[in-house]
Amino acid sequence: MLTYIFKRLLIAIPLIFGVLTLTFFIIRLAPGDPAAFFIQPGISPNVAMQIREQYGLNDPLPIQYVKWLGHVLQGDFGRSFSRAQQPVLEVIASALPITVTIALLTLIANFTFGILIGVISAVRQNSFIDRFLTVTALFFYSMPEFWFALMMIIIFALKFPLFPASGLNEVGAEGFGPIGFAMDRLWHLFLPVTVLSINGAAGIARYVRGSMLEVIRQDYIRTARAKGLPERLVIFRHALRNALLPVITLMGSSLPFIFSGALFIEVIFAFPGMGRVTVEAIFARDYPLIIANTFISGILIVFGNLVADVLYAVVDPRIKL
Amino acid sequence: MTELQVTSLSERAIAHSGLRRLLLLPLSMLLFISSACSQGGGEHPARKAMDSTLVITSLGDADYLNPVIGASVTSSNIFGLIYPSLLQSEFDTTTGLLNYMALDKQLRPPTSGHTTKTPKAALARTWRMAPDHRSITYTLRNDAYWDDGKPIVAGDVLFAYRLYGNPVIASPRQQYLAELEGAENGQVDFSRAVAAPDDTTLVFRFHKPVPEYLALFHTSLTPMPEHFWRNVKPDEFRNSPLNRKPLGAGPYRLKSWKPQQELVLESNHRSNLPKPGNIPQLSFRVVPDYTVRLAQLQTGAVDVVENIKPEDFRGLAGSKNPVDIKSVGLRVYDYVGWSNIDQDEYLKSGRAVPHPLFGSAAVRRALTFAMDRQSIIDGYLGRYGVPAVTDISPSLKWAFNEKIQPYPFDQQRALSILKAEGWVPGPDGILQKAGRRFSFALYTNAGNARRNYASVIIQQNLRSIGIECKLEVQESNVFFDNLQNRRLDAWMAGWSIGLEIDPMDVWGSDLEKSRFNFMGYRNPRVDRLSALAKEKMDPLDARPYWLEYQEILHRDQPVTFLYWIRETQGFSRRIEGEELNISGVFYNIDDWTLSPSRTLAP
Repeated sequence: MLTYIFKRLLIAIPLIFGVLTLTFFIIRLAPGDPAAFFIQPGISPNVAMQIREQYGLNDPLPIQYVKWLGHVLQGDFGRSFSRAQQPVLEVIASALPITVTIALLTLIANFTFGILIGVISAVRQNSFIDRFLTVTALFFYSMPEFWFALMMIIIFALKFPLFPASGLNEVGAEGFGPIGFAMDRLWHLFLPVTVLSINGAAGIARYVRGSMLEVIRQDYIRTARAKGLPERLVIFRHALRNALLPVITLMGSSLPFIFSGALFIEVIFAFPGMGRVTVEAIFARDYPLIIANTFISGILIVFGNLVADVLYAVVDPRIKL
Repeated sequence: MTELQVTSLSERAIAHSGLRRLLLLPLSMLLFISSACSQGGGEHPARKAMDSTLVITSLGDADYLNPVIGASVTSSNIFGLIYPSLLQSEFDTTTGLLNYMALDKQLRPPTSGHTTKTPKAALARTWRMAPDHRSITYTLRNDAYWDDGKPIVAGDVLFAYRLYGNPVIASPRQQYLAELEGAENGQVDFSRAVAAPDDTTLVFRFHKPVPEYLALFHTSLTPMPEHFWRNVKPDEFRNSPLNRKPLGAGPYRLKSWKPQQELVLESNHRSNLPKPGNIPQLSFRVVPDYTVRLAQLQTGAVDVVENIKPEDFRGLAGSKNPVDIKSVGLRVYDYVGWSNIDQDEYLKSGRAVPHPLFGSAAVRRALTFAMDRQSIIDGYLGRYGVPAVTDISPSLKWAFNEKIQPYPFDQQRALSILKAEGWVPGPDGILQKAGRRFSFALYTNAGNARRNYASVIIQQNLRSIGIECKLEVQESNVFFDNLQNRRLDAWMAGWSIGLEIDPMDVWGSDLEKSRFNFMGYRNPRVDRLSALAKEKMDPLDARPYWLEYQEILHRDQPVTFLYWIRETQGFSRRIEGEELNISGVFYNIDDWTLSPSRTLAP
């Protein structure tokens, strides 16, 4: 297995590198440049020119590419154009933990609720509760996240002010003490995580239901029941374990999706995470930051897929890597 | 008991227990959260913090807290509170002229009878303009100090001007140095242009006679503490960590800055320029989404939200947290731009030939007649919009030509002008001339609801006189790039004007020099009038030139001016003492108070 993981990681290197090169050229082919901000009345006409010179944007594209490559190979992704020349890795280092926190909380909520709803639907197949849960899940599954987020804000922050509409912490949260601060942070995370996880949980629920229905019709489940095992044990120990095999692999591959979902959520809820960094970098044509974000996304996708494959092999001994 | 019965009973049990858990989980989370919120009684630290903190939201974060390179509006709002200034400026609403004040002198007596801005914030005690208008000498006060206790001296201003003028630093404020000695040759000669013979004397020398008001405007850039910045090399200036730890002398100083989240300023108890800010803390929070900013204003989580859209006024009026809509203006206008010249031909050969559709002033006038501008104002801006005639704002009363009336909405007149110009209805109902249909695409930038609204009305108006107008929305970067590279024939955009009139960047006949003459408009008389106006040492003497300038623009209609906008800001009613002004929302923020904060010790 270790050899397999090692091989996969080796293959990932040219893959990510290829993606970065493509991104480099595509983003530079898009109209507009980072100095466009300085082309406005009242600002000296020289400024945009001077800024382009300093950012190295006056060089021909192949030379820019070689220079960029040289820096990246040394682990230097450059400085952000739009964020006061902050090193891009520093920008990402401060944004990534926020997105990872949201992603992990979402992942936990996704699977907890998804599995629970899926199991109930399967066990009570075709009952009212099954239909109710199925329709509800479908309803949430087909709802655009940004719209849902705005609805949640209007309902739970404006009409019934239970939760804050945005931000990571309350004004003056530093003075609440460590527990108060953490509680305040959780309170702020509730709406965004709910929005992100409801959509994901609905998808997983559909998946678990199908998988569970397939499993509970198997002979060994009938055998388990026949030998007099309590139904709880039959469902949770024998059926669910096997039904979850394909679901577990979802865990790895859903990671990049959660990150892309965080894109809207972070903009709407004003979280300074990777999603917002990416959106703002694209609008500002902040090339170094866009490339570095692509790098992180690429790694996440490769890592997510690898985790999915490895998990599959771990949970199903029939699969050899 | 059969197998089936066992299954169904157990299933029910599981389903019930599952359901119970399903319901219990969110309930327990809610309980947990409400316990967190229920601390929100009178003594909750959050409430206490709010009482002494004014929360202002903005779309984006500050870039550099450094007046030399800070470019965004948020940045300049913030460093304006941190750094000292040489002079104080005040917009006189009676005349529309900017007034400048030093501690012991002001440019002109205020016509409205009272000044709202205190000159105590000025570093300059007085100034003296040379009779030939080629130099200005300031005398600075000697009782002003940087936050580290070092005195603010004339050398700090000289040092700052060297930074502003350094091409490696690429300050966006280089334009302010354009009259200094040496600038006529492309590079300011600092050995002659700015001098600080002693700590309280500062001399600026110009390469040509400069009107006093302009000299004051251009020589009052923010000083920088030389002892703090001296060792930073120009090529490291933008990267310097000092940009994140500003050393100032103003009413507020930086307390903390979490990038893209929150920047907190605290009242600077050492400041005598003019005094420590009244409100103990100002929190600038970044909330990119407009709906969320609005929701927070309604719940009282924030106190100030800029640029409230007219369609939200009604919602705000009924919000739980009492909110006032305050407006300032008129500084921003929207227009429909027409390509006066054939852009393709100009790009190919450099020749300026009239545009086949919009090349004639009569056709452009007809297009203006055809547009129901008042209905755009009534339908979207309401009383926050004013019809625009030219790019001189009605707020600049000293120069505004009141005699010019906006062209009325008169489609018959539009049709008769077009007919006289040879445009007659074709078989498909669209006007034609020499086989060419009057059909074009009107471009605008994405994400501007006001322009979207206006463009739809314009499309309908033009369609009803037989002109086909297709609407195209582009991402802002792409739109601006296309505009700048003369790829668009018709577009809708807007400008925010400066408070000093200087229109040559937009209307100058030299299309290479006039960076924003996207229309390709050329009129030597406009160039001449602008030059004559700038030669006058008193702006009021230039008034006749500006009156004629407006008549020409109104006649030629190089663009169709749509409306001036009163920018509308939402203010929580707990703020007191605020005075909004055309020069900025946070004009006198050091004088603001928060009503509950008066009962709490800061």
